[in-house]
Amino acid sequence: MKNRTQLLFPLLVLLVALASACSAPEGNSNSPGSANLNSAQTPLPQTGTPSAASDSGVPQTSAQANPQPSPEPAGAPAGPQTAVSAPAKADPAAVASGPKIVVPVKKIDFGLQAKDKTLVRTITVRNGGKSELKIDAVEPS
Amino acid sequence: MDFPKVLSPGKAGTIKVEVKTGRASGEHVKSVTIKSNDPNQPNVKVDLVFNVKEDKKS
Repeated sequence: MKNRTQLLFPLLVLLVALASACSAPEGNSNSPGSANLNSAQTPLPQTGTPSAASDSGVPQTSAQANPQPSPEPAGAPAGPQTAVSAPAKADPAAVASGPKIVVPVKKIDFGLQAKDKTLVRTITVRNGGKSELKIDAVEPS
Repeated sequence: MDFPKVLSPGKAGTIKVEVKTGRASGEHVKSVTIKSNDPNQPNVKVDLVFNVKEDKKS
């Protein structure tokens, strides 16, 4: 009897070892199964993703290309706009800090006058700027 | 013509102008041009308008 038990014990140990080994292969089998599933799932989503990415990528790139071109044309007009606005900004800056002649009256009407008469009138001139106004000349024209 | 050479910011001055009517009757328009260092308006034109009446024949 002892011999049988001595024979059965190693068999039990072997069975436990096999069971554990089978449990390990089960995990392996699961992992390949899952790997297959993953591989099957992965390719599907991967193929789906790339195809979707390719499908959506083309429109997306076109859509991205559309927004990109839209900023490009916006940039293209922006260049001319900045080119036009740059001199316009430079002038007001120079004008704002410079002198400004203000002549309220641009036309003086003497009305009905006699012949050979000298008419005298004064024109008021004001400096509405922020620096000195230099009057170079007053010429008849 | 008398005019101020320099005007400080905010200051005003007067320019004295003279014009002779002459002997031609009718409406006349003459003008004077004020030249300054204003970058926006270097030349300002002021019109002088007068009408010379005809001689009355007696």
